[in-house]
Amino acid sequence: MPDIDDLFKFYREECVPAYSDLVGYIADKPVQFLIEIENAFAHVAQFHNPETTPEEKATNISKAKDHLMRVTLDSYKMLWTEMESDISQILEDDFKRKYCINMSQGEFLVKYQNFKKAAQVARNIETQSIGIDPLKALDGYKEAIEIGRELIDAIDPEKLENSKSDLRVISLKRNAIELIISFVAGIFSSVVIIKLL
Amino acid sequence: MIGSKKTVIFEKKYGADIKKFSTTEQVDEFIEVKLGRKLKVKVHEGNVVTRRGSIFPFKSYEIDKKLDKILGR
Repeated sequence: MPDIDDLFKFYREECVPAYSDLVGYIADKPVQFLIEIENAFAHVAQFHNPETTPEEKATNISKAKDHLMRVTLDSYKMLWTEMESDISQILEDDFKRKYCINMSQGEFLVKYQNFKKAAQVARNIETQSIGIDPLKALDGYKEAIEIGRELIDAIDPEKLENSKSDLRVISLKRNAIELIISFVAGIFSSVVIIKLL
Repeated sequence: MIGSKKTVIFEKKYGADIKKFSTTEQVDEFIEVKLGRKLKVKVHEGNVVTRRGSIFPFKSYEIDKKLDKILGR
């Protein structure tokens, strides 16, 4: 049974780093995190309520820790889904995949598969350890996010920013070349037809 | 490793030492200085479930459903 010191040790050593990773990436505060902290706080308040029995105090601390454990795991899961969404935008766009990453397309794809596989492994560990030790999957999710970080680092923000205008320039050049080829082909056909007549 | 107090992204991205942060409020203040703006409270997209029939709008989140959908589980 955890005590109040265990609870806040867990908050400092696991919850705060998980929160900093998530908020550091999305640059906003997820409401889900705040809801869980509010729930945990309600149980801590009951722990300090002079009217609660020692058994009730213990139950409340245990419940508060459950909320903190859940929000820690959920922070990494939210972070993974956010990263996956950003990486998918690159993978699904031919132009961005070819010109906006500082890594070969093959390497990027293999890393993306590893990123998904690592999350699948973590998720399997998590579902198998429900009610036993939900934190068993924590290292697995961190490992998946580490791979995700390498993928995100490979994305060139400047090229990505300029991708729209670059794509427009390439399209214009392609259209101009097609127009010239059509024009030359037209003249050539006309000459051939005139000679045949 | 549980209890090692390490981050995967935060420390490398912001050049910070997580051991110097004890609360989420301190993290917020630090990131807000780096960003040059206040952090906004946001609902994690794509995983909001609204319960109908409630007097107050009730929102809960289903990160597991979203994760499982992406992982094809």
